[in-house]
Amino acid sequence: MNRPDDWADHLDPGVDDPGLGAAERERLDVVAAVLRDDATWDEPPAGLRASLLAAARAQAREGTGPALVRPGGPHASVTPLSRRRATRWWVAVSGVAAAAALVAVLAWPRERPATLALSGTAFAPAATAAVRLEPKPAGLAIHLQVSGLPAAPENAYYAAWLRGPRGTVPIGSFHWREKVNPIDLWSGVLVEAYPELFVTLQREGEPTEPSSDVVLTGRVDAG
Amino acid sequence: MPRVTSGEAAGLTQDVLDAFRHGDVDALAAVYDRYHRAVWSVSMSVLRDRSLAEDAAQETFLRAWRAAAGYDAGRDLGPWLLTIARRTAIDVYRRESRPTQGGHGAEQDLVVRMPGIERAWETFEVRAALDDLPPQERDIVRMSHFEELTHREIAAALDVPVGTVKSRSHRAHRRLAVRLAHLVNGGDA
Repeated sequence: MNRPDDWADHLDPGVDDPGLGAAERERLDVVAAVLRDDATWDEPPAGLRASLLAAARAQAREGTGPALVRPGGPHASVTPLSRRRATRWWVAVSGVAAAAALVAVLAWPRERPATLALSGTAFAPAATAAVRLEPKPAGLAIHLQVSGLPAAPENAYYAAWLRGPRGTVPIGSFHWREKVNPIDLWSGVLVEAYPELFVTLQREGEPTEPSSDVVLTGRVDAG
Repeated sequence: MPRVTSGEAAGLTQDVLDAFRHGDVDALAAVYDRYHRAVWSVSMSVLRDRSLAEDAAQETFLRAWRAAAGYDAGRDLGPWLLTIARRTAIDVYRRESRPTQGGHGAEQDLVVRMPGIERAWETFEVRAALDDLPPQERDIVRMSHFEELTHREIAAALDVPVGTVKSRSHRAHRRLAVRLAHLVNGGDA
């Protein structure tokens, strides 16, 4: 007997009961009761994350939060995640940033930041990302606020790209294993010429061209 | 090419857990991103008030962050966080409670109204399992259970064939059954 299928049938109100034992029925009915509870479906307010982190940072400044514990004794040091990320980020994108600096032109547009939304694909249907495009003197800073995207599997990573009639340009890579927003990318080309922004899952050691495993995609609305 | 599975989204890396134990704010953000909906549902199941639940959820994560040095990184963070969430929600409830007109104190009401740790754990786990479902499937589960719609009514609402609803519904409930097998089998938290 396939238990998950039977359990699924018992849970699904639109399907006939498969005739489970009393103990299983009772426990599944508890799950069903939780599924009917409005508390289960209620969404936390959008500002809660920012409020929490502001409170935590304030407590850290005031010394009322946890002290940074130094594993390995008083002489060992702990590098905060943000600094570790910054180090890895620097290594990962230094080549892209250097290239971007080379192609920077005096006429780079300095308009106000723009936004767009990326949606998930069949590879990552729950994934979404809000993108902020911020023109800088040396290029375009691209900030992703990602949600619903699984961490990249071992030996794989995500790569972000801009695509247009002239070709495809890499704008950075990330693994999303720490699930910390924003993800900061960088472009040396104009989105007007490369309006499609997409993210692929790549395997380490394979050619650095976009794989067919697109997980997020969207287009810059020129209007 | 490896496929991305929802199961891979469930964990936090050891790096993040270690940083969380050491008081790192960015790690707190990662823990929040993973667990905020489950903590919210537990807070709401106790308090039934969004404003109070907001206080409780924020305080839950702050308490967890401040106490994280004592958390055993070898164990699942979820049950530990759940315990703090339920305790914090009850504390908020007590803080807000007033003696009833019947003359008995708020403590007596708590005995009747507060969900036990088992029910809180079920709420926590069910919400986490729902978060792992693809949105289309989660919508159908919500419409089936919370809105109490039939497959035919869901099909009409989504403008898709009834067969599509039936197959999505089965996939969704099967995913939930697998993800929540420890509750059905009576495993501990």
